[in-house]
Amino acid sequence: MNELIGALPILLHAFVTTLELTFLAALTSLVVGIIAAAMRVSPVPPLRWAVSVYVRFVRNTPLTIVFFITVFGLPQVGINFSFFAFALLALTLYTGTFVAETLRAGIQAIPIGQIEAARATGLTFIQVLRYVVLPQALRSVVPPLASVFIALFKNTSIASAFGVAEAIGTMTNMVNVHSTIVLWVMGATAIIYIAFALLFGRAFAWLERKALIVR
Amino acid sequence: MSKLNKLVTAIGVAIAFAAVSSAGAAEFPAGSKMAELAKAGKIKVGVQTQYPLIGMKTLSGYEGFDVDIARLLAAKLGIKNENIEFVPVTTPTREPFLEQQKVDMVIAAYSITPNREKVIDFAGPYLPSPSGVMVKKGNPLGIKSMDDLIGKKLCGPSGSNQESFISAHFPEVRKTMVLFDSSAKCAQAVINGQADASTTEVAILAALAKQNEGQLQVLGINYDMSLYGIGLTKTEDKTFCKWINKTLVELEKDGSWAKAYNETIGTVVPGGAPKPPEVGGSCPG
Repeated sequence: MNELIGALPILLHAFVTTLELTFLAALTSLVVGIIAAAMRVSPVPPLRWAVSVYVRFVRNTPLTIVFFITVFGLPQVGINFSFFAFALLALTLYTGTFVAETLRAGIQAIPIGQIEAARATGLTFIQVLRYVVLPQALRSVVPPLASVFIALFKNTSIASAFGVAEAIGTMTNMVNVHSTIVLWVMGATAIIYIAFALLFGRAFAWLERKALIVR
Repeated sequence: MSKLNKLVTAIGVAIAFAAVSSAGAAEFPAGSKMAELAKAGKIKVGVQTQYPLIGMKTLSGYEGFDVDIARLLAAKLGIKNENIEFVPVTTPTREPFLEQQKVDMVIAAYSITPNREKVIDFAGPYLPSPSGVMVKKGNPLGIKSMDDLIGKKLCGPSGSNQESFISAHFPEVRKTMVLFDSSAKCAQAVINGQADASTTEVAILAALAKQNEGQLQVLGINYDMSLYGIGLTKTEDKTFCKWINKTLVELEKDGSWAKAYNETIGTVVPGGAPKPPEVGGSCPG
């Protein structure tokens, strides 16, 4: 037990990297997702096709392979970042597809008459998105987006296999040293993950109530 | 029943008994782990799957020095090759698998440490395994010692003996270390220039250097002379542990140990088979 208590601060510290990766990737994948969703519903066919290819390829590829291609493929063509930046890129590319599809569902739930009416008043496509479509779509997809971001939080663990010392990587190292408390270290790691995920759930629930009031 | 009849019956029983015991586990004490395994005719062995020449899963099955040792030990128990079930293990699963008796033994680049001996038994050691350093061909950074790695990106496998050893003995080097889940990825990172050097067991480095002919180079820096042991479920009597140690000595004497070494690690590490380590582990003497 003492051994576990001694190991906890190191484990908690590793969660700082996990959280950094989660928040940054959530932000960037939200931006990528919004742009991709907008392109997907745009009146310009090549934009729609481009996003369709991106979503179909990346969303259906295992995240480990997305990481592999990003971390080891890009340097082959001369693009080289830190391992953290690569991890952020891989997670953004992957999560961006899920955000885009979630948003598309929200957009499709908006009655087409509203969009036609907005266009009839002379608003451009971008203005329609900005003032009519996205505000409503984003509100209606807060609960499914929460699931996407909680999945992202746990997906950051893949970065441990690609040079980022986050929670799972640190846990693996600790298990090698503290061979007498393997299950305890893993259990503690799981509990910390669950605690943070529950916290995110609460934050999104708050956001959801707030979104309802604004509407 | 006549006296003759009784005699004939007695002889019959004796012959039957002798036949059974010679076919079965005559040489193993009743109730021992060896007798149990020999009777079952099969064994579960935990092995690594990503350690070239040590424990590697390929399309054609498992191979490497650890796998050969498992086969040699199983043969001594009268277990055929096809009845050995190899179970992939990783750093976090080795001890739990043994504690929960999911496997009969673990032969998986498993260094003997006092901390591990608190929860499991080690037979052996069966192999000295130094760790080394590998860099890009030509050693562009001129690395000559572990101290030259301070401030450099040294790549190592997550949860490995090297990571623990470097944390304890070269904390300055550890600060800028990057960890991947396999040595093959570290080799790729060195080739790409994403890492300056890579570390793991010398045998694995040599295998990776050979696979990536002309791109990588193993330096003459050796550290952490750890000894690999055979992980066993902890027992009071240590019968199985003692039997493995005795058998390892036999395998060393009859040349099978050196043959296994030369066919695996010896194909890339120069200098021929080393002197096998003195057996002891959790059951010395």
